[in-house]
Amino acid sequence: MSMLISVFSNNATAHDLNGSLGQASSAVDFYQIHCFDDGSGANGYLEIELRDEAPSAAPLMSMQISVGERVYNTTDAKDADAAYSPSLQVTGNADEYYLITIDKTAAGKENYAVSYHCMTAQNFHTGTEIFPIADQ
Amino acid sequence: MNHCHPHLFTTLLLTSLSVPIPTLAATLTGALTANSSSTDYYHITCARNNNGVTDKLKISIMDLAPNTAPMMSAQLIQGMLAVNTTDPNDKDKKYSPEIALQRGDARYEVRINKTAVGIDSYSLNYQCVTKLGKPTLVTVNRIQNQ
Repeated sequence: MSMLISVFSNNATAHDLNGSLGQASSAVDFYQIHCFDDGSGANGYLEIELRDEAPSAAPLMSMQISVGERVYNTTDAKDADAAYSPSLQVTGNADEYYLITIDKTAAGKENYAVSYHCMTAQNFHTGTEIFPIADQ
Repeated sequence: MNHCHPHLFTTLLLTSLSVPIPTLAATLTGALTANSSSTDYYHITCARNNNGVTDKLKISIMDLAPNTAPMMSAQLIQGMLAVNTTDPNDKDKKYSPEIALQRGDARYEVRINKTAVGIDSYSLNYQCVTKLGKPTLVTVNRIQNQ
């Protein structure tokens, strides 16, 4: 329903965003993340993970990351603890756009946090910007 | 020398080449491997036929055996719109709530995934329909099989 992005559509330094999904079980939040060379080096991969935040409710929250014709999923198995879902490292081109969808398994409002970092092949942090596409 | 009927030959050729053939409403089955990140990915294309132009694509998913912990979900995406559906009960034989996107004759994306580690299988029901609910042509192309 709402989203708070630490640095909106800029070369973010915090690389965290908070958002929420509305009541409907079909609700999906949709983002685009752009990884680019900000002087630190070309993009090698996007590292990303999801945390299901309070309220502690029945729905499990999942996130899908797609690039080109590849798609991967990660799910936070436990609600409202401090741990994130399994981290995904999704390779991409030197200048790459990733699509992110976030959803839940049942009806009920939910909140989430996403941690995302564009990384070079040498594991240095590089240019990262995020754009919200759909907010449900 | 044996001769093959032209229509039969075409059908056999298309089948052997795995070329998607437009149909009306249909169901497909698939499976996801043990990895929790596994996702199957399909392009589903709706096209007009004698019933008229497509109004929307409807889908639902059923979590099939084995009866295991992961719940299975499907996301339907077209352009900047996305919706999700999850089968909440692995042990019944019911589909998840039906979801739809009204984007007309178009190519839609469908992704299928699960909430935890473990092999699981599914049935996906899909149908392109006109505003009057009559079926239009639908073609499925599997892009990723994990």
